[in-house]
Amino acid sequence: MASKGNLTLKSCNGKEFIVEEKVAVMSTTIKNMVDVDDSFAQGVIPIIGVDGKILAKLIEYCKEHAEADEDEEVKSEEYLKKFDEKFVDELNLNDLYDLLKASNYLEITKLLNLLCQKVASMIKGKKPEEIRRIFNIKNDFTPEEEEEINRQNPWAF
Amino acid sequence: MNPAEKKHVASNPKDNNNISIPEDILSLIFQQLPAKTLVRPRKVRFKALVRHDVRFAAEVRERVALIDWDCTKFWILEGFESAKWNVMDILWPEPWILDYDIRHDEYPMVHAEPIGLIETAKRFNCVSKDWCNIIEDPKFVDAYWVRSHNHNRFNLLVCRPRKVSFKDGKARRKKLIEFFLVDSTGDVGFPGEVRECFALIDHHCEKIWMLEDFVSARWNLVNILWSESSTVNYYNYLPYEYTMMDPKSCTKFTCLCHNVNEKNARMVQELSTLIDEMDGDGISPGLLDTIYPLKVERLALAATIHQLWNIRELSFLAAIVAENL
Repeated sequence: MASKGNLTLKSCNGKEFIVEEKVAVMSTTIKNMVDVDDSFAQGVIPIIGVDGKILAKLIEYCKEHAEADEDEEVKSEEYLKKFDEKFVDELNLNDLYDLLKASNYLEITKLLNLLCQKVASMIKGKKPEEIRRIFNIKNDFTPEEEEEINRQNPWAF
Repeated sequence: MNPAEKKHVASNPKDNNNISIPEDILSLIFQQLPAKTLVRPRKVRFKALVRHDVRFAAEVRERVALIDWDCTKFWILEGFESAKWNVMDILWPEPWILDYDIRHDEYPMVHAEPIGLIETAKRFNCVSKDWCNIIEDPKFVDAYWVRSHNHNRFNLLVCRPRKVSFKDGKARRKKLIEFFLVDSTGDVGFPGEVRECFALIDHHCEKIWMLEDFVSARWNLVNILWSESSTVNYYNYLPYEYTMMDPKSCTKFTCLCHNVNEKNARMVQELSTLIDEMDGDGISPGLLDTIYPLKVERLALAATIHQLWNIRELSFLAAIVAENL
C-alpha cells in the first residue's frame, strides 16, 4: 500500500507504480476515481488497458508537469517546453499511438494536446499516400470513390 | 470508463499492423492542423445584400467576403451573435483601416461569399473513409471553425470565378468560388525583410495575390509592394507548401524584389514565364543575375500567365461580381 500522499497505480500487465498524489491526479480520470471512492486512495488503482511501459511514460510526463505546476521557479516554462519536445521526439510510432489512447482515457489534457500536435506535425503537408504509409492505413476507397474524392481534392495530390 | 468501452477504439497497431487512431483522438489531431493550406469551400452561396444592409436574417457563424459594386473595396466580415454581421477588416485597398463600426449607408455591399472553413484538414479526407467521415462531420466543421475563430486568424482568400461542367452535352457554368486561405500564424519561411510577406497563388485561375503583415500580426491583402528602404533581392518558392503538390499539375513561383526606377518592388511571378520574358526582353545580364538567383529552377511545365497584383485585378473582381449576379 502506498504511504499517505501517494497513490499506487497498477498497469494492465500487473506492474505497480507508487506515485505522489499530485502527479497521479494530473489525470482527471484518476482524480475523479479518488474523489468519488476513497478506497482508491488507500489501495491500488487499476489502469486498465495501459501497460507498464506506457504507464511509466505517462508518469514521467506527469511528474515533470506536476512539479512545474507546484513551483514555477523549479521548472520554468522553457524547461517544460524542452522536456515536452524531447518527450515526443523520443517516441516511436507504437508508443505514440498507445500514449495517445492512454492520455485520452486518463484525460491528461496537456499530454493529449502535445501528442495530437505531434501527430498533426507528422501528417502536415504530406500526401494521403504518405500518410497511409506512415500509419499503415488501408486505403478503403473503391477506385470509383477514390477518383471522385481525388477530383474534389486536387490539391492533395 | 475503460478504454475498451470507448467508442471507436482501434485495435492495437501491433496486432494488425494498422494504426487506426480512434475517431475522437483523430478529431483532436485535426484540430491541431493550421488553417493555412488550400481551401475548397463547401458551396457557393452568393447572397446579394441589400444596399445599406449588412445584416443577415439568421445567425450564421461564417465569415464572408464582400466586394463592392465598383470593386474598389474588398471586405471581410464575421458573423457575430444576434445575427449581426460586423465589418472586421477592410482588406483592400486600404488594409490599414480597421473599422468595427461602419455605417451601413456608407458603403454599398453587394455580394457575400462564405469562405470555406475546412482548410488543411480537408486535405486529409482522402486518406481513408474513417478520416473522411470525421472531416466531413458537421460537428467537426464547427469545432474547427470555432478554434480558428478563437485564434483570431485572418484568413485571406483568392477566388476562382467559375468552373465549367458538361451535362447533357452542354457546357454549364458552375458557380464555384475557390479560395486559398492562409494562416496568419503559419511559418512563411521568407528570408530577410520579406519574412512577413508572401504570396498566394491560385493555380486554377493563375492569379497571384500578395500578403503582408501590416497590423497586429494580421495578414492583409496588399498591392504590389514598393519599398524604398529595401535594397535586397529576395526570392523563394511559392507557395511554401507547394512540395506537396504534383509538379506536373502545379506551377512554380518565385518571390522577387525588382528594382524599378530606383525603387524596389516586391512581386511574385511564375518562374519559367518570367525567365522567358527576361530572355526575350534582352535585359542586361547584371540585372538578370540580380533578379533571378541562379538557384531558381526552371519548371518544364508551367503556366503561361504571370500576373502581378495590380490594376488588372480590378477587372477580375468585377468579372466575379458580374458573372454571379
